[in-house]
Amino acid sequence: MPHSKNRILSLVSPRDLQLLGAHLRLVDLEQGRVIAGSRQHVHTVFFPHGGILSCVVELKDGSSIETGMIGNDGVFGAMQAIDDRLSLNKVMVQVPARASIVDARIVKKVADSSPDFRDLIVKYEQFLLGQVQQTTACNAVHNIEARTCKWLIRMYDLVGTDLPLTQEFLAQMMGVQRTSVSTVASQLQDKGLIEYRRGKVQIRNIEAVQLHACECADAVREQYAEVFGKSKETSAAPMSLDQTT
Amino acid sequence: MALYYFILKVGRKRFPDPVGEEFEDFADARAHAHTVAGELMRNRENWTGHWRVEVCDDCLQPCYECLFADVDQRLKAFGDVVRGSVIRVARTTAALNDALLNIDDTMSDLRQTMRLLDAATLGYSALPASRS
Repeated sequence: MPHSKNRILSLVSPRDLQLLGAHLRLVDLEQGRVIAGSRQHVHTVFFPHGGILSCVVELKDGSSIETGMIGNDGVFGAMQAIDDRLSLNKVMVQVPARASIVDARIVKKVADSSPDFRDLIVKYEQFLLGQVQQTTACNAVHNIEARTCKWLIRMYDLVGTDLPLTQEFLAQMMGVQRTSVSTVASQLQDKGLIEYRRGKVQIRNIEAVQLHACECADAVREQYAEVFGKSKETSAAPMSLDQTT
Repeated sequence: MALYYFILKVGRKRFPDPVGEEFEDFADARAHAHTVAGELMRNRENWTGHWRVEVCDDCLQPCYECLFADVDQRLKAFGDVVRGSVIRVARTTAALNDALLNIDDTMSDLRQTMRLLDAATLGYSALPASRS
């Protein structure tokens, strides 16, 4: 079943999946698409099969910074659907992918009838909150090279070694100047960690990237493992159902 | 608008930003270099004081160099004497790295010249004896 390419959907009980299944649709999410604006109601719930959705905080001076990533290990909009709440920040497609989507009212209906499904959504929200808190600490305390490597590891976990990203996008996500990202990328390339070509980053040596990263990448993996019971041994590779179930 | 390039200098290595950025004038490019230096040294100021960002014009001619220690706001808390001393050490370290880089370049040129000389000598000795 294509919908089970999303880890959260793969964990939903057969009964709940049957209730959702009739309403789930497949869509392609193109890079840069905004799927939720800041302080806007969420009408659709997204279960990505790959790629990355970025939770971005926008500031009044026009700058913005990423505080969380959602990939095939997560869901966007489910918690907001359950409580009819707003999306507090902008959520956009950072790496394009296919996703299963469903009307927020359906998710609320299933959650109201199934404590297990509601529990699953709350669990993911707990992980996402932990990830945001870790990112906040990381942005405050760690240097740009360590943060870049942490960011690459998280992307590697979700997408793999080939990342279709421009320097502008990367800079925006990290809340720094493009020039800073460019010079850090040059340094990482010089060390043989990555290869950076126009609009594309390729991770050449993930073990070395991990050595240069701060503790936050491991912390996020451990948080996910604690919440969903994922084994640590499988965490250093792109997440797939083979590894997560 | 004018195009400027920014090159990070770390020890004897150079890390260029090959794309460059456009600015209204040199003052804006200089301010950008300070911002970039601040971002690159943040949370690792103790060991990046001698790093520099070089600003080059669109012909890649250097027009300004920002020493990280010069724009390290934390040093202000230590007073002028300590701050001046740290900046002097950082500047001396940077100058030493430049000197070592120049030696590397000179040695490289010398090796190349000697290779050419060796090739020319071999060619000369291979000439027929009747010419001498």
